[in-house]
Amino acid sequence: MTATIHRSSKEIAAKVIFALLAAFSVLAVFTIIGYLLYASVPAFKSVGFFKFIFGSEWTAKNGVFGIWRMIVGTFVLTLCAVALGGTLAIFTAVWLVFYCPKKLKKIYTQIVNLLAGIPSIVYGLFGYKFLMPLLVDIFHPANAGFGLLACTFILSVMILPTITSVAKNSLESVPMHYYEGALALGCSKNQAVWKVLLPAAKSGVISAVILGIGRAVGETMAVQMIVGNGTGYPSGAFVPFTTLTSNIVQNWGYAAPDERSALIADGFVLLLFVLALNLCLLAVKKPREGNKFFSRRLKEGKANDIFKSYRRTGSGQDVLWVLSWIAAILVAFVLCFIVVFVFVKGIPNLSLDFLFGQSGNAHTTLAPAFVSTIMLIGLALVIALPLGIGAAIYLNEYAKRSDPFVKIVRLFVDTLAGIPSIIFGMFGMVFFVRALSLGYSIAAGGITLALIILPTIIRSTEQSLSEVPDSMREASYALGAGKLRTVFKIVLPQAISGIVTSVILSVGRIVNESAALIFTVGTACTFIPQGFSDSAASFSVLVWKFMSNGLQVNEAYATASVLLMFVIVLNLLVSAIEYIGRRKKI
Amino acid sequence: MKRKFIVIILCIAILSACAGIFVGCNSQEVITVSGSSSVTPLMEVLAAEYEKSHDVRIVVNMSSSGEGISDTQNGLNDFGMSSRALKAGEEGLEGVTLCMDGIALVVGKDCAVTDVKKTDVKALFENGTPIPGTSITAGIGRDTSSGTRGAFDELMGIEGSYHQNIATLAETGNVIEAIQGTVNSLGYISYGSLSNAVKAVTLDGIACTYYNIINNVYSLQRPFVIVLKEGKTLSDAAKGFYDYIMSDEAQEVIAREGYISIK
Repeated sequence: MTATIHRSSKEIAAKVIFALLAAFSVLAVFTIIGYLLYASVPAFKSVGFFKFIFGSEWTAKNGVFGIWRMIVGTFVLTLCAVALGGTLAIFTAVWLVFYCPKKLKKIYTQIVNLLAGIPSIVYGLFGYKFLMPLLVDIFHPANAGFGLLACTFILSVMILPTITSVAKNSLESVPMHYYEGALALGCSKNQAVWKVLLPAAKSGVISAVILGIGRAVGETMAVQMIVGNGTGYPSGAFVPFTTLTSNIVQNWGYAAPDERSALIADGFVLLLFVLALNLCLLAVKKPREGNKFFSRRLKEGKANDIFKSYRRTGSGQDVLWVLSWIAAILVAFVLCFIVVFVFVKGIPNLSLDFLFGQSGNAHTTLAPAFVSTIMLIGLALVIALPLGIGAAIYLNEYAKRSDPFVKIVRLFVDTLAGIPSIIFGMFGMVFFVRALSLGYSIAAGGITLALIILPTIIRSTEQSLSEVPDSMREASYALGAGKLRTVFKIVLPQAISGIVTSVILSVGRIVNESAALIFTVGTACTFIPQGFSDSAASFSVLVWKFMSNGLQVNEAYATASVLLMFVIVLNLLVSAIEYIGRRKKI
Repeated sequence: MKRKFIVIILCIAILSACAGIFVGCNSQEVITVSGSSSVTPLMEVLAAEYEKSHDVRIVVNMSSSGEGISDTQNGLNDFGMSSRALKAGEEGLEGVTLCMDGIALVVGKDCAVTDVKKTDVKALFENGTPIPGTSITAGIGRDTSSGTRGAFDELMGIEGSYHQNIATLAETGNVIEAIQGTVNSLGYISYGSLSNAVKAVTLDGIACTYYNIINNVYSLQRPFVIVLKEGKTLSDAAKGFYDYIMSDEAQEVIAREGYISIK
């Protein structure tokens, strides 16, 4: 790949441009961190850093800002959610890799993906309208069901797909001979799975859990609805408390500059936690073990091998086997339940008029949301695609693997991917909406969304570029093509399915997004936006808005069901493209 | 080469078509109003009425009173909406009262409670004390930037923050949703947002009704305020809409919607 025929000025210019595109994510992370720090300095100064962190009173009137109880709230909630969601997720991942009947495997993977695709706001709606009343019926608490228990349930379902899919990948890359060796030594299948293979995938499973923690710490909209935002500590299952994220959403409206700065500082602390988690992730990441060419991975082996079991003895691991079945069935059940619940409540309220009818202040329909969602998607993709594909080309085609610059870029892309959307929203608000005075507009929202989807595009494109065989490039050089020409004419067309997949994933992410958009695009939803400087509401924001004014719950369900239909269609599209891509290769 | 050329031409054609659509539609004047979620439903009705006879688009951005006020200060809207009177610290602004609104105390439909005492409600929110002799054990309040909360706290004489067991929610609707299914929670919402979903209770024996509010018998009431930036002249379109909502004609609509006209 290092062979370069011409070093014309065009080639050099191209390389520089690609390198700059790759450097953009580094710049973006630094800008976000730097600007949020800059904006939170006034709060740190006026309150004092230690008082801000360890103070537990937040009273805007008196200018007292302390986030200790929110830190504790976030910490306790995350711990509970990861304990429940993480355990379920790991059992589900093990089941999916080792025990899942072959025919079910694809469907079940779809289920997990779908669970990952359900918008946060829909989880919030479900928790608010179904789970909380249910808990009230069962436990008869002294309030309407706010607090740790309801939040833990919802949050653990939300982080489950992240943990499951990463853990599944790492379980599948365990060398096959571990399993064969365990069987040869007389283990039963259950013993081999739980005592040999799961420990062998330890580092992957731990990074999965860390990613889950990151997701839990940053989750905003669903938590904000269910947590109750009390002024105390989470001292019981039904005591309302506040998290770092819910504090931001709740109080952001208060315009007084000192509190706004304090809220940005709150976000900055959240960002620090996320960055620390990213560093942990870096620490546990291990390179692939074993020889690349001579050791087969589980996923490369024949499916039948995984089911081979020569002994069936009663052992402790058989209990785990049963538990993994229970976990898997539970997860499937929860997903179906949420989807059916939203559809049953929502679809009867859908009508052609509600979907596409003329919208106005007297009668809000979904027509403006269609337009504004499409505009947001368009703008975000127009910005993020060139940046992302350019960066991926640089990382995969131009840079040497050992180049420290590449490592730095990858680290920052991962960091960008881990930043919670509320932080993006806040940054978009202070930077694009206020500092660049774009106002609440599709433009501000689209740029913010571009930052959010950039890591997805870079990673997915890079992945598919790296799967293009080197022989293609070599053949192209041999025919006298330059590097630039090779990249655009040979490599990129080969990687097109990966790029399309990344676009669809990005569209999914945009459709899901609510926290970042409320802060940057506003909530105006009655008119079709006339241009990129208009405020507008996408579907997710519309669900929030319908829930918020208290008179349109049916519309909220209807919109949520439209949103779910999108998510299902997008998921099917991704699978279809993967299927086509695989067939082409063979 | 030829194919590329056609593709480029096509792209340009599509782009210019899009631009054309945007420019073509942009002839309407746009008025942006933002702020309180309590005022929003009323403002949307007023906007719909006004649009019937005028060729403008009125964009109502729902957030909270605090945000509506800060948007106005920062020039992000034509005018803001607040569901409480302006405070001393909020400078450079002019507040014009649009109408009055009551704050209704609400419980779930299945809740047996019909009357509460002011002191009990205060104790519930301040100290988390259950209301004696009733099933009410929890209060549901609003976030600190809510105008409804500001007015409620002021009228109730609640000075500090709420007791830690009080949930505070971001929007009127969330309060209704949360109260709906319970028998143990008491919340407060705008009188104009009162619907069949929840049940209003009387305060010290006085019901939150139109006549009690207008005659000043029911004590929990506050103004809906239009927030203007001092020294900033409204655009012609915004001025037209502003004049309309302050007119007698609009006040009739306001009264019809269940709010208390000031005229």
